[in-house]
Amino acid sequence: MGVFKKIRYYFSTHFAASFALVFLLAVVAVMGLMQTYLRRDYLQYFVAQSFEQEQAVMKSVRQTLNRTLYELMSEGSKMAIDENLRLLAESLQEEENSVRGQAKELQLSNELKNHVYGSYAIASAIVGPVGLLSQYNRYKFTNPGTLQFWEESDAETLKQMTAFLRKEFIPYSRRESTDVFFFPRIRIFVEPDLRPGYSKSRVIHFVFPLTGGKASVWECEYALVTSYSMETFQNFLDTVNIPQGDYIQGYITDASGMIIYHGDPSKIGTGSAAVEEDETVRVISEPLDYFGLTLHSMIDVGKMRSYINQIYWKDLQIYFLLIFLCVILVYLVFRQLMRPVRELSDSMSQAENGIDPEPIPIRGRHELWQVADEYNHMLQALDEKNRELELQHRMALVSLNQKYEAEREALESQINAHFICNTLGCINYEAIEAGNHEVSLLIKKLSNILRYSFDQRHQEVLIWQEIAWVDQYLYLQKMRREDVFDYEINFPDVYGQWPCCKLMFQPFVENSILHGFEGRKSGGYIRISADMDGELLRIRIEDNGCGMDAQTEAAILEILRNKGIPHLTPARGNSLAAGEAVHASDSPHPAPAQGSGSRQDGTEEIPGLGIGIANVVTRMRMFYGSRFDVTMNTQKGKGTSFVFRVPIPDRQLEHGAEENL
Amino acid sequence: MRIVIVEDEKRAARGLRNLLTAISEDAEIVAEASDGIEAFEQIRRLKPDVVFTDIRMEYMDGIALIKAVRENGFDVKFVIISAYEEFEYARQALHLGVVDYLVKPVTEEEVRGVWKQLCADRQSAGKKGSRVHGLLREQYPQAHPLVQKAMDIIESSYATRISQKELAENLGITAEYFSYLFSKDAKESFSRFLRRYRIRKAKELMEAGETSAEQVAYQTGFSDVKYFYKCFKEETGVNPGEYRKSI
Repeated sequence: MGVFKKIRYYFSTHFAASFALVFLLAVVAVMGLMQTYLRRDYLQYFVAQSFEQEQAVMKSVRQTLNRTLYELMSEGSKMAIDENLRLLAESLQEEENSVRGQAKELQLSNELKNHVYGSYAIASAIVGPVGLLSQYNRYKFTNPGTLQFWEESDAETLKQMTAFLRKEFIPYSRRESTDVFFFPRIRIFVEPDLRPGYSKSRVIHFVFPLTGGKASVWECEYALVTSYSMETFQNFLDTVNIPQGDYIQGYITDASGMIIYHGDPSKIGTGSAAVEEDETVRVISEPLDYFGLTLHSMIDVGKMRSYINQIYWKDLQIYFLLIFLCVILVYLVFRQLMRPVRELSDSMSQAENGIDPEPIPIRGRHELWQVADEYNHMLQALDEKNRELELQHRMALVSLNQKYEAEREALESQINAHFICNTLGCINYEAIEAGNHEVSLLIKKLSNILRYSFDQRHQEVLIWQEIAWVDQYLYLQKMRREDVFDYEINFPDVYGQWPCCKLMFQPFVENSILHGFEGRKSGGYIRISADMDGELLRIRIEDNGCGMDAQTEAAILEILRNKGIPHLTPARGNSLAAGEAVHASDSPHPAPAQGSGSRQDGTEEIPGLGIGIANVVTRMRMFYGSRFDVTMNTQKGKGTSFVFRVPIPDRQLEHGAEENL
Repeated sequence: MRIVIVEDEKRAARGLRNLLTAISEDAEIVAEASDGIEAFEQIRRLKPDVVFTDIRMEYMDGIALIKAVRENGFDVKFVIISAYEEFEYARQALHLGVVDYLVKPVTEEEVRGVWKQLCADRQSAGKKGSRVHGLLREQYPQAHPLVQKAMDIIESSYATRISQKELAENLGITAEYFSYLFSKDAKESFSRFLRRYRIRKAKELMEAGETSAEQVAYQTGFSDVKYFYKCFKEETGVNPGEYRKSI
């Protein structure tokens, strides 16, 4: 049962197997029907054909046999009318047991020998009223040791064979048949059929009256017995019989209907009816001209059918073998054709099980391989998509981490923020009351910067807020450094409502101040400007600082170009916590990762600067989407510029359908 | 000008008082309150012209205070001075018609600006100039100036064809940015806003006795009467004919 189920499962899951099975059944059914139909038709045709053919054969065989019999009879007749033989026989009868008699016997034997050699006979004998007078056997001398053809014990048989000469004497007046009259009376005997000295083949005996010249047929006392081998008839059977199948049997019957010759010796001596008893048997009979012999050809339709069946089954086996081979071939071809499907299935189940599927090797060009090829493309696309997603995920994770970090820091700094802001508020009034409005302004700006930076709840702001922040930031930085640099913000108010990502300019501006103007006493300049570039807002941050060395430039360009982040761990100096950045720049050695302390060692300065920029760029990409673009241009000694091209984020864009009314 | 200062920090209250009195001799600080409830009591009692109030306070915050005063129908101007630069507060405050929203710490310059504004308001209150346009603009007080400008244009030329693209070009910004600005401030797309406004005008026309639907459609900027029917049905839920009968 298990095996059966397994087979059923295999068939239900393998297209090639089911196809081969159906194909096999169909072909077998068609072949079976065809064969059955053909067999029936062919049998009919075969029977009719055989019957006709056999009739034609029989006619020709009859003529041949008639001629043969006639020849044998004329040979015998020639002997029978030999006067010499008769005289020698007569004299031998008289002078029996004398010396002369012995000489006569020798003479007679010699005469017989002469006759026998001139004919087809195998033996010849002269039988007188008292018995065997002389005989000659063709093989007597050529084959020494051969027994006499007729033995002493055969005396009685011979007597009976020759008896008709005397017994059946018919007075002339009562003779009816004319043919018998003109021809010597001849009888044939098939008994005894086997001679001890000649046992190989059956023999037939012709008995003639030894008339020997003038003697009348009716008065002759001696008989001539010539014996022939029945091989003569064998030719007839060979012509008639069909060796394979054994469905046509030729045989000869005598006047009484007794079979005298048959391929099967056991049938000899039986009546022909016994042979023909079968209903399926059809017999063609052709009477011969002499001795009332009849030729028969028995066609056994039953045997014929079984013969054809036999051939049919043999053929069928070959057919089945061929079909089976064909089916196997078809199955194999199909299996080969279905290979991409299997590969696809394997690959898919691999994917289901969470294994990254390898692309399927394409081994052909037909449709299924094309599908497999498409699948490969799909895999590739999915892979790319996955990678992209993974990257996005990573970016989101980093962003989340940053956010988490920021929130944590925000909580920590909340109290401080309020405390600081309110304290600054107090100091502010002190300053105002002291009449120092410059201090009040500085406090105001510092307070604004701190508040904006501390406020972690609003990461998505409007660009005017950001610009205002940068303005105040730069104002304070400028104030601290006095003549080192000046700045200019040229931002059209109309674009103030542009969505913006909080603190997105800080690292770039800080880079200019800390790095670009390093070692400078005066003349630094930072310009922030904006205009439209098609649908995008183009923002420039330019400085006339010292530019970057090639190594730093390459690293920053890599960060800007690369959509990933070089370091996943949110490092300190995180630009989100801008408060920290401000603190860092307040320290005597500003931003160690970025400042002058590490100038000689470029590799150390890049990460600090890099992380700030990388974080901002990542946030901006996430915020603005794929249309966002940032480029950098730096020239050693001449300055650095960053150009941002920012779209309105897709999710914020609501396209009002234009209606022409 | 009679002023009440609502501020829970004593030093800040004193600072503001000194600052105001330094700016103008006209400034008369009639009371100081350290929370909303106390402030409300004093406003009720003293009926000041202006209240400078903090937002975050105990018992009753600044916004609640303004609401309570408005509900009681006192004609008092408010200036908010808050440590929080919160959009939500700012929005509510503007909605409640405060004169200004200052962020702590305040500079002398800022307070001077507010003071000027207050004085100007007091002067213009007597005149009450008539305004032809600006009704729509008033409904969206904190909208971007360009959006308000666009609203003026809608108001004045709704009966003609108005293309968003051309409008944006006239305002000097891209259609995309205009669309973004407009839908951000008006909370719906420009085309939908325009259509709604036109239907509102159509209703007004019909209420005024205009019977021909065709006339109404053309006078409200619809070039196609069928389309007018469709829009009307979508906006109001009834056909123009049914609407007229219901008047």
